[in-house]
Amino acid sequence: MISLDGRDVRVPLELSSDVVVVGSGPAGAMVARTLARRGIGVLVVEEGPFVTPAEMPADSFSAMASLYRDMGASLMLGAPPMPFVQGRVVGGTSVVNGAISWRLPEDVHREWVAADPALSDALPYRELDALFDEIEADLGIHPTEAEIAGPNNLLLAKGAEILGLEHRPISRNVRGCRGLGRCLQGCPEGNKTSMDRSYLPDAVRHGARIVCNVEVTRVVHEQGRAVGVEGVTPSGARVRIRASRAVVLAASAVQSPVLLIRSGLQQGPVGRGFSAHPGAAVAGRFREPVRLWEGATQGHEVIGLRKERLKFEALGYDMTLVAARTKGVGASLVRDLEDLAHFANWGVAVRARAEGVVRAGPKRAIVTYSLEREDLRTTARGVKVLCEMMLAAGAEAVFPGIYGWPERVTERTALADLPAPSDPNAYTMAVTHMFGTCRMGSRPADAVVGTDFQHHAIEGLYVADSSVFPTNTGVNPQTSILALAAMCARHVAAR
Amino acid sequence: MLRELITDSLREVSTRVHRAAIAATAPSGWTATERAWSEALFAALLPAEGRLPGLATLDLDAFWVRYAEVAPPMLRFGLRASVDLLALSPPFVLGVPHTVLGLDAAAREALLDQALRSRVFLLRQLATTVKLVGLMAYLRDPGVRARVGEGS
Repeated sequence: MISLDGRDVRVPLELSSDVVVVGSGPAGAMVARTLARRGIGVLVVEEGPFVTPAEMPADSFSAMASLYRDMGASLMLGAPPMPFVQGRVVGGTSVVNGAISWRLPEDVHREWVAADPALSDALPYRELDALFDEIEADLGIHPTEAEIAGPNNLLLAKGAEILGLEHRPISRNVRGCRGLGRCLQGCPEGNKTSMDRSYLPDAVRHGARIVCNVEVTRVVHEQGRAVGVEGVTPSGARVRIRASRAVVLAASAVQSPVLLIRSGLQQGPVGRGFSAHPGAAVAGRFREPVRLWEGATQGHEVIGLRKERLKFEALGYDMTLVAARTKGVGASLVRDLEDLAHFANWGVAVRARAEGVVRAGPKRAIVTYSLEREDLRTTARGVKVLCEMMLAAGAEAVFPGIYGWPERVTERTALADLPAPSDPNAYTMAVTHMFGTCRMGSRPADAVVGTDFQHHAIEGLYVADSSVFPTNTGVNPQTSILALAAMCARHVAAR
Repeated sequence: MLRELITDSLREVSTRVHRAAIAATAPSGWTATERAWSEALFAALLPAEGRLPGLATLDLDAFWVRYAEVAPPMLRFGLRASVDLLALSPPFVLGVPHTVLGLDAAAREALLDQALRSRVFLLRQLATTVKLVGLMAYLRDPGVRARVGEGS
């Protein structure tokens, strides 16, 4: 599938194409596939390697080392300091996510249109809906079957049911999933229809080329028009790729604005308006074995509190990360490890109100992002609900993971009067979904790209990823990213 | 206090000689003292217990080589700073005039435990970093994974 591996390039290289797409995750893959199917020459440039299913590692360290940006340890500066997790591999984050698929909620779409009425025509929901239908058919998106869910998911269903919270099996982009619990390390059987297994091969069948292990460092623009990109291979060789029709950035809400800034394109609020879904997790000990590293990694969700900006998911980690959730060290930690099969782990994603900034550091993106007081209260509420669901489902003990709360809780009544700590550092959180740093909008002063996804100041330069989202979504964004990227590709094709 | 620290330093010299004969216990580029501190902390984090081996008994060469290749600068700096500061923290955390090398096994474990539960955020983060990296190294071992996975 790969036309060129940057590891094999040790001398300066020049390439050309009609369109250059930077990034091979959902946005880049959809743009490449849509354009290639229309007979347009496409070259996709990916910073990470190409990894086959057989090469997907089982343990967290090996997976993080080979598939994740910065080993999954990219850190946001702020309160609390949070890691943000991104794939760095052909297929992008779709290779290492839980395959959760959600349509953009209509209420979120209404918010977007209310903020900028021009989006009503640019992103009509009816058109998005039709794209969601196509994407769901293409990727085999369907609710997780009970037979492969495994106890970690089924216990979440039980807890939510007892508390009367709306819940359902998660719709995932998988085909033939056997519930190996390996989504976050990359499916070793290739059963997740991540981009490397779906849209990218389709794009290649229609003539697209993929270059891996080349980091794009700059968008080349001349007289107000994008004409290509420059990049570098692991050995330091320069790669210059000319684009006769367009350059499309699809490198994520962290990397795309950095590329613009490094290219001298500071127009509009580039890098500002960063929003996200910070998440917290709760572990619980059950009498019966849970073995949460088996079964669908993320197969069940609780959606009854979405209006409170909370969404809950079963979270089947590799045993390394489960063990890190336990409280002790030494003999106590080893006892927990021997007992690890009895632990469940669930997470809450918060549709945070906070906004941050992405800047270009000397070598890396610098993300500053601090949660608002209201976000902390929402998080504490979410953690409390997770604990209540776990105890309702039969957990002998739960471990809330908020500093200042009891380390171990065995009764729901013990949770009732716990206040939300005002110290952000009392919370242990991580971020997976990121948005808004090259915001779409009709007014150049308020937006980086126009309603046609084209940069307000540079002709032929497009942004296709979740950078363009006006707000966070409160739900897993992959399907929304795919749909908007398809719309972006139509504009590029119409040039 | 000074005498105790000198005693610790002498112990470190003998530890250095001993370490040369066994597998790597820390990333390359660390001083011999840091490597000794690292081994003491990781051994206290995951001692041999029940049917599971201790972290210090595993061959971690391949882990540290890969870690050096892929760990981002902030993590590399964070782990080194965590080991250094925790190793020097016993006077403040436990109220005893020693580095971590001057503590017995139980006190080393108590040091990590109290750091993890400290009201000082930085101290909690230092211990969490050591715990996470230690678990990555430990649960990369196929034998350990098999034994943990068998638990029920």
